Amino acid sequence: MPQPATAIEIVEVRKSFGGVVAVDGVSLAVRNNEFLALLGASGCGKTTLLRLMAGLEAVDAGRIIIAGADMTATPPFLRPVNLMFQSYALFPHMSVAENVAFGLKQDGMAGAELAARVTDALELVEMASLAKRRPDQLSGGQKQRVALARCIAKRPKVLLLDEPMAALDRALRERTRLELRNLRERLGIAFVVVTHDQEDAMTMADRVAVMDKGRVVQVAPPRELYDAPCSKLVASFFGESNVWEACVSTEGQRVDCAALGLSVAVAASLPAAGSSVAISVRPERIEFSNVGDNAVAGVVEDVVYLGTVSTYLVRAAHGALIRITRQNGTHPSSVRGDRVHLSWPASAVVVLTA
Amino acid sequence: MSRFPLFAMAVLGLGLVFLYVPTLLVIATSFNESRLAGVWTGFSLRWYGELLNDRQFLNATANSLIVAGLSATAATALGTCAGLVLARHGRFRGRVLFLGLLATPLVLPEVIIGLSMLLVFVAAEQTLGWPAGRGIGTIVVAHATLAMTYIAYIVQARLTGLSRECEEAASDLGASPLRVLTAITLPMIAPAMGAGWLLAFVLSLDDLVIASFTSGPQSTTLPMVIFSAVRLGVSPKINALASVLVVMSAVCLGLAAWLQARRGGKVLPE
Amino acid sequence: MSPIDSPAVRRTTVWIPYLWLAVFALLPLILTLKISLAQMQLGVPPYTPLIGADEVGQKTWLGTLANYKLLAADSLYVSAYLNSVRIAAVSTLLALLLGYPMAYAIARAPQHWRVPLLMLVLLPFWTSFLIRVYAWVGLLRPTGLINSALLSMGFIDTPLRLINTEFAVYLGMVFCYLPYMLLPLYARLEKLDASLIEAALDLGATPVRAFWRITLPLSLPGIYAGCLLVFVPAVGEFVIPELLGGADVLMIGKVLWSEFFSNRDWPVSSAVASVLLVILVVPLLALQFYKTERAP
Repeated sequence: MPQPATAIEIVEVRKSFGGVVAVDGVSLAVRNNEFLALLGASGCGKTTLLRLMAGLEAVDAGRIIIAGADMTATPPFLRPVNLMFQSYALFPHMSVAENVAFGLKQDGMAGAELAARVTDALELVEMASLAKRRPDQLSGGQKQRVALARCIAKRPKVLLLDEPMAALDRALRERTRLELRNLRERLGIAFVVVTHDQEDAMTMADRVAVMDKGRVVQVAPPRELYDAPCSKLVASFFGESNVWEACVSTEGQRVDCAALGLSVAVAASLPAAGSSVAISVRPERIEFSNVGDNAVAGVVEDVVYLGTVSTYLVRAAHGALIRITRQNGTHPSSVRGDRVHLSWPASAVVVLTA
Repeated sequence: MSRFPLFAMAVLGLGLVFLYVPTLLVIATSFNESRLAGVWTGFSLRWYGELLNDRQFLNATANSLIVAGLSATAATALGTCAGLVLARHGRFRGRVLFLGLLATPLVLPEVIIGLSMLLVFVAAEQTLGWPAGRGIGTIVVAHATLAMTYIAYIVQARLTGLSRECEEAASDLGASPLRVLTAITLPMIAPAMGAGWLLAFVLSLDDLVIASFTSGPQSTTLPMVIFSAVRLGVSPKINALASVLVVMSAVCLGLAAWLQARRGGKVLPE
Repeated sequence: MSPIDSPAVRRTTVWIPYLWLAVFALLPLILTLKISLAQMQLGVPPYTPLIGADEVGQKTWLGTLANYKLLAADSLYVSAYLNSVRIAAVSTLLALLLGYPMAYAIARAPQHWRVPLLMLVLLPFWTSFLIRVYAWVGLLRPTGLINSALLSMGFIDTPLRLINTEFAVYLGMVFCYLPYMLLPLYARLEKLDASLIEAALDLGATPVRAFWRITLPLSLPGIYAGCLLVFVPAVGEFVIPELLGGADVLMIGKVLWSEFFSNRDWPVSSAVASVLLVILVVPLLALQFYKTERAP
């Protein structure tokens, strides 16, 4: 049987709750073996989109195709995807092993085969030794592993994870990110993870879909999102950025920025002269120097020491506040009140038309 | 800040005395050998012995236990359904009427419930030929209706406390709606159902007014026996009977509290 | 869409209790209203039909408002209704005055004391209602424990008249319905954030003032619920006035009972019930609905 190219394909899906639009015409394809992150602020519709994929909500319009079959109207218990809930939703009246076995039993599996599959799944998440425990005897991290095992035991075509890190502390979060990535590689199935944390998305995902107000704004690999955001929202949501309003100049490859009091040299292609745009410059692309494509003078207003780097807030002569991040120890450090010169290359400027 | 709580604590203490002393005195006098309440002549189980030889009392006890057991079971089935509706169904057509009807046993005086129930049974007998006369069956129906409301609220409270996600997870893992209900929802609310059953049992065991209206000549219940005896005056035998009832209720309460206190799952065996 | 919202499961869980309630909660009330329009007769059933047929088969309406005219004309019924409302209102007030400090004390008790104390207060609710009333009969009657004790200690020469008084009825009502008052009050007071009172004290309010301006207003919903839960059953109460009030205390529950069991007049009993239903319960129900349906 030829494998369809996409694990899940979402076509023009809409969903509203009592007049409030949660998902507003989203189209998205999750590739086979891909780790896709749905990133957005709370209320942007990302969890609803995940629940639509799982079949826990019915779409108002649009289609959902899973592994090549149209499953728009298929109830959740007949879809070959599994969802790991944010609360984990472990059945409190069943042991760890019974929780993991539950889904397999629904497929009619029993006896030695069932036991073997349960053990396999639990070993994969290193929870085999606690198989007889009840959910209320587990720590948060252990619960998460059991919830994961319960999903992967079913060998779904796609694993859906709703905020898998939300209940974990910082140290556990970082470890779990890497483990989830490794797990996906070993299982060879697609993962879709919902998160509001850009670090989660950046460290785990092959591609990130940024959502806002029920729409997918941009889908791209993390590096591309960072280097070439398509809108102010993406630029500000994904990492720190300096964003200023500007107007395309009549001279070639320049925009006029009132806040900087500067005609900014730009490497990227520009819309017609006179159009309003926004420009974004990442803080680490700016240097303390007076030579470069773009240079301004200013006064250091604040310095935040962050260990390996420091963040400087510099007030430019025309009023813009510029954020700069510099590695500590690589240059003479400035202090509050210092007059400084800043510069950045034309290639560092991203032009945002939306 | 400290003066008012002190006053409140004092009232609480007095209130507890007020709530307990009369009943405890009844139990104490039930062991008094004397026929006179005010005179203690010695410890005796004489009145309990007389109870055991009283056919009317034994019949009424049997009737009451049968009615309570049957009506509690029916009320648990009905009330659990109603609780599921309250907690999980959101808005549906006729919801306001449903809520109103469910609340009637709570807000209507017992005399109205008793009388109106009787009228239904009589009308049904006239038109359908059932129930043929009134007896255990009609009291069971009346008590089940009364108690299903309480159970519906208990089950609803339990369900609202449980997240829907367990049910959704089961569905996501391939369980059909019926399987979700039997494998996940019902086991999780089983303690509430158990506590509700016990409450219904006690309510039924306790009821005089509704049972008086809906009973037939052969189905006298324990409260009816006590009531007619109390109207004739206080007797030591009634003290003994009262003590038996108090102990029965206390046992049921203990069981219900134990069920409620246990966490959802642990009621099921390993 | 929760799985148990699936059409089949949904239909079953709605229709079984719905049908049951329609037959055993709604129909009874309709029948009560219907039979209140009939007349007593000897036979089975002991009331006349509302629609009769004359010799030629012509249907005629036989319903009558005679029972209601009787209720309005006979001062016995009118004063029974008024008495019931008065006694229920006084009992509710007494239960509130006793119940509020109790609920407050439990809510302000150390955390690990609260549940045991609450259980202690609610335990009597689980012991037989009839037995609790009977316990007071044993205490209050002329040869009862209180009179025997007072006589033997020489405080009195003749037994005090304690039973068969309104006082006894109030005692019984408060005793039996106190848990209904306590539970909603406690639920409300327990949720009340203690830091609000501390803030009021910090801002210069005296403890008494903090209570009047902060605690009391915030516990009003509990007071309202508790009063409703005591008042409604108290109005229609039968056992307490019958056993503790005697012949002198007239309440509508007793009137209904004797119309039915002594006079065997089902239509008049139904009319008494219907009036009670309409003038008392319907407004309260409506109020309750207004509140719950509008609550967020």
